[in-house]
Amino acid sequence: MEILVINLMRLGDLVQTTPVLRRLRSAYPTSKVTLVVMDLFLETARLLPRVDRLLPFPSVSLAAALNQDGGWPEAAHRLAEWLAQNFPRPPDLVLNLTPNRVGAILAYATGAAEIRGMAVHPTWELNTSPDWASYALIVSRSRQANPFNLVDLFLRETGLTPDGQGLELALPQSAEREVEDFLGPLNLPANKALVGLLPGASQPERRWPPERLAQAAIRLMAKRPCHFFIFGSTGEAPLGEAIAQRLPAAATTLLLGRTSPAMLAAYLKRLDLLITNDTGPMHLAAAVATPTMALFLASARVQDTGPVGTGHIILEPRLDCHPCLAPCPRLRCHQAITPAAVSWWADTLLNLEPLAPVAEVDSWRTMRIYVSATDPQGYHAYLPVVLRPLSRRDFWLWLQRTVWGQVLDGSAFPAPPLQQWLENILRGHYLPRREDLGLGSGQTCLSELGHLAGQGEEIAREIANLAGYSQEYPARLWQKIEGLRVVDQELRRVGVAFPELAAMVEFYFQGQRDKQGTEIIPLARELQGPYARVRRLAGLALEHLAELKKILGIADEGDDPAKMVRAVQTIVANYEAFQPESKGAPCK
Amino acid sequence: MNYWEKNYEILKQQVPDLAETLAKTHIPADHQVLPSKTGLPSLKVGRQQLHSAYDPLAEGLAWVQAQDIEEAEPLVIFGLGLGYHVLPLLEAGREVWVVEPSAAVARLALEHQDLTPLWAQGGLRLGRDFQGLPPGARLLAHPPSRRLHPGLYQRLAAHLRGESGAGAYLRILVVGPLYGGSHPIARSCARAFSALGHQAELLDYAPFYQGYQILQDVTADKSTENRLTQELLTFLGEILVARVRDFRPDLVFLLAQAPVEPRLLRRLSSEGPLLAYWFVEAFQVFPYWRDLAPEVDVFFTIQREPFFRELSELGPKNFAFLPLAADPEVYRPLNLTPEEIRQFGAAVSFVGAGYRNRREFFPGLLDFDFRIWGSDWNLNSPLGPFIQNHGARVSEEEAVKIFNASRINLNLHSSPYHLAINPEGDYVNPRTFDLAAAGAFQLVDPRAQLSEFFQPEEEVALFHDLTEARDKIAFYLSHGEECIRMARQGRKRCLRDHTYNVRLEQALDLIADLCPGKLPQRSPPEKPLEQLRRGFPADHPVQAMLQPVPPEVEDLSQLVDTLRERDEPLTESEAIFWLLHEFQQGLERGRF
Repeated sequence: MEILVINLMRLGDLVQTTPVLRRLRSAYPTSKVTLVVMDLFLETARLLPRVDRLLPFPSVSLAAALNQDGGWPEAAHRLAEWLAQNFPRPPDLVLNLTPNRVGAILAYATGAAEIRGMAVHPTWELNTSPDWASYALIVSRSRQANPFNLVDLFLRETGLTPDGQGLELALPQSAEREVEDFLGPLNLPANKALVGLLPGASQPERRWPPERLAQAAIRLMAKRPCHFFIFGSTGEAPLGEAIAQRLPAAATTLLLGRTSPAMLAAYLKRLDLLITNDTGPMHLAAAVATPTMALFLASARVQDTGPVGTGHIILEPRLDCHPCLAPCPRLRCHQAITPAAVSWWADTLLNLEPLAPVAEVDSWRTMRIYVSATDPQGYHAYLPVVLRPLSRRDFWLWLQRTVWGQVLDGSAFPAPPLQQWLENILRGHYLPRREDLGLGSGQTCLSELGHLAGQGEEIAREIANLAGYSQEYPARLWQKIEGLRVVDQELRRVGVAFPELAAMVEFYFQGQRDKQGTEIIPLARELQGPYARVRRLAGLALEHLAELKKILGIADEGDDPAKMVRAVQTIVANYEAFQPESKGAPCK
Repeated sequence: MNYWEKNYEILKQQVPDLAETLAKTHIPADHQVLPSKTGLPSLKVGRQQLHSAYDPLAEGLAWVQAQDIEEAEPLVIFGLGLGYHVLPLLEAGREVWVVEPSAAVARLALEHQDLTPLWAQGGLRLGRDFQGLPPGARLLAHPPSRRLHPGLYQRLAAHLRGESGAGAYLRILVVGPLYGGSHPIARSCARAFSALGHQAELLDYAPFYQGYQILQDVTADKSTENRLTQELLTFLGEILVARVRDFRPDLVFLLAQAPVEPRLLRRLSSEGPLLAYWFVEAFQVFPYWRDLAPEVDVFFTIQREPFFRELSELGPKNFAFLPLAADPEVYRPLNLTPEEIRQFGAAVSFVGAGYRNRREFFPGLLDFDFRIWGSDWNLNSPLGPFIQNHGARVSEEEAVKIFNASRINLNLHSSPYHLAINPEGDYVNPRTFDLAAAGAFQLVDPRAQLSEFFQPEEEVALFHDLTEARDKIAFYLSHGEECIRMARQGRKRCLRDHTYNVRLEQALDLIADLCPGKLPQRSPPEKPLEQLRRGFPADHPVQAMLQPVPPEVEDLSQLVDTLRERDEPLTESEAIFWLLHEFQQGLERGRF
């Protein structure tokens, strides 16, 4: 069986593909696996194990032709030739992990019989299959509510299941030897912690200021002997130098622009810890089992792309505006992460002690601090390690985690063990609830969502039943279509009214987009499925909401006026306890 | 019978068109026939001596002897001069064809030599007319003629080699002014360069005109206003630099009043393109040419002496005469509705600005059905009732309607220094060409250059003073058929010799002559669809996919849009182009 995996993304995304390759081998042991990557990242891709054929997409050559005046026909020839040469026969199966049209159309252009992930439809519309691929697409738009890591989404959207084994690399021995040769002459004593610092990131706003990284390093040196290796690209050299000039020269080695991907991975493997922004090298470190201390700033969100594996520490700014939705002129998140906290948690990681939740420290209030873990099904999760009351944000994330799996996987989803695990998390990683979790309005919106989806399903069924009679009853057909339009409008309203549910609403609209270009009656027939899934989502969410309330010991809110009065009095009395996450400091 | 009559007699029988052209040819002032030391006439064009000032006959013979010519092979000689180098070959009975770039030089040759054998043993061709030259003929160059016209020589050589002879394909950026008379010329130039097969683009500053006007009202403080205006001009200059960097032209063709100054021209030049400036103004009235001419590679003028002398004294040697022309796409005969004729027509019309000489002259014509169109007129004057639309500017589309609707179009060249006709006026204004191209009858004041372009009283009617103007208006108003005949003749001449296409082809030859080897010799690019088809085997599915694609599809996004509109399931071939288009868009967004 010929299987093609398409990943036209960058370093980190490539490394995050390794679980797909591993699970693919396990599911199709005799298949031949080809991986298509951007030619610019070919060197990184060579580190990926379990690939039979590595195929670089000729982006440099195509860009060179396209950048010439009137060069596009030449680019078309090159692309057609590349396709003809490399796909003389259509692959049996394509797994497209690239969340854009280039990957989707490439999958289609190979002529493959089956495409999983994002693809295009013969109607020129985008198409996602299986349902997890639709989910992966919608959470790229409604990020706030997504509880799943990209690694797990890669697996699920390609029809594979997680194994909780994390990332892996095929590191060439020559690279490891070369690193040993480099480290030998440094004569670093065994008690010295080897700590990597990575001040760069793909976007400037995701870079913690190098001065603050240097302060954290100095604080860490005060706790234990350390030697720092500073990594990055040639273009990031000024960031590295800004750190190096603040640290003792003997304790610092600058390696910016001096490492190939293989060498970088080999260096990372030798470290005791990497302190990094959300970057590709962070995933490389995770893949070679080096503990990371990751700083997720600006638009980076730990649930989406946090380091994979167990025992990594992640710091996020505890701001209402994080992760940011638009370019930000103030970057308060850079100040929210403090050198003291980074050095404290780095030291904790270097102590190699089990990471159990600890009590709140006043100076940590501006941060969310997580440890990476896996759930009983092998999905990645990020657990709070500072004991705080459960927040509305976290509550709905945990709820979504239980609901989506059951909807997308159906009966294949083993709910009970996850339920037990979640109960332990809620009891072990959180203090008793003090914050309003939005249960009343959430419950109302969920009920409304289920009701609207049911209505949509019913109207769609009635329209489908008009097949063959639409000429006879044009007014009735028009009324029904108008009814669907109102339902869709109302669904959008619910998504806006309760943003934690926006992904559920989007999930319906993704289903609708997949069917674009279809005539109304067949379309109505097709839409019954998406409406039914959203109805089921809402129903399940209400069920799980009740269960979680039970675990948390919460009685129904809003039913008892006397209780509400009491709640308000409590709020007034404990104002300090009820402050929003970033008190007095709304982001904008 | 003198030489001219003898030559003309035979030529008229054998090549009547050529005979007619030469008969009408006007000899410019810089073409001088001077006696050599031996007494034989020699010829000087500008500063180029075409023959020896000592013994042109011996020089011609020596040139022939120096040529390595095989017996009986037909010869094509580039450059006739006064024919001293051609006559020995004719006497030897050779088949000789001569291509002479200049009709004036050919006319002088026919006035000073007996060239009758040439009509029997070959022939004469003028300018770019290479018709009937024997293929594979041996090309010989008369060196001074080649020095004067290297561009045309290369074109002839290419023609004889069997190549298309079309000039190289160039990227040309035309830069016009914010407003004013040279703005429509800039637009016509860009269109003409495109029509000549080049990739031409107009940097149109007209949208910034409103901003420029607003600046005039911002402050009463003159120095602040000047500073703001200067900053706007600097900003416009930056736009030009940015466009040059993006478009990467081979040639920047600037029109008079374009917002450029010497420092900007030096910056542009350092970006690589050749700079040509067409100064379509009177050099006596607008002295800013002194700053600009030294900074460009070629400076085109619509006047010759004494402008050339002043340019030479200033330093540059890179100037050339390039008269104005007409854009027949704009100025054309129209079928007007009765309503339009009523709105735009009159017995006598004038279109133009209210210059001093016009304000002084026109009160002598007010007893005619007379309409004046254009700006800068004093409405509170005897002319007031005759001025249309309260002196509003006239668009090109309005102008062409006025020209067509009027029985007589008066064309009085502007002058700020005279009361009526400028007796020293040399250049011919754009209106002369526009009226001719529109097929409109015009009554024009005399200009020194006019007879080079139109035959007076055959193709245009002239007036030398008010009395003559009044007499001729009266005459032509009662002889409409004569007006129609003359207007037709004028249009025919204009379409043949004075369109922007013709003029700018001459301009490119002049640039090649003045800056040899500076313009790239690039072939015109193949049409994208042809290039695509050529790259795929005949049986490739892409060929069938491209079959119904209209030929005007030029870029990838147009192609993808066309494919998408087909309403058929996406094929794998179509997916290739869609994929490439998405990749291209990603590149533009900086995503890869």
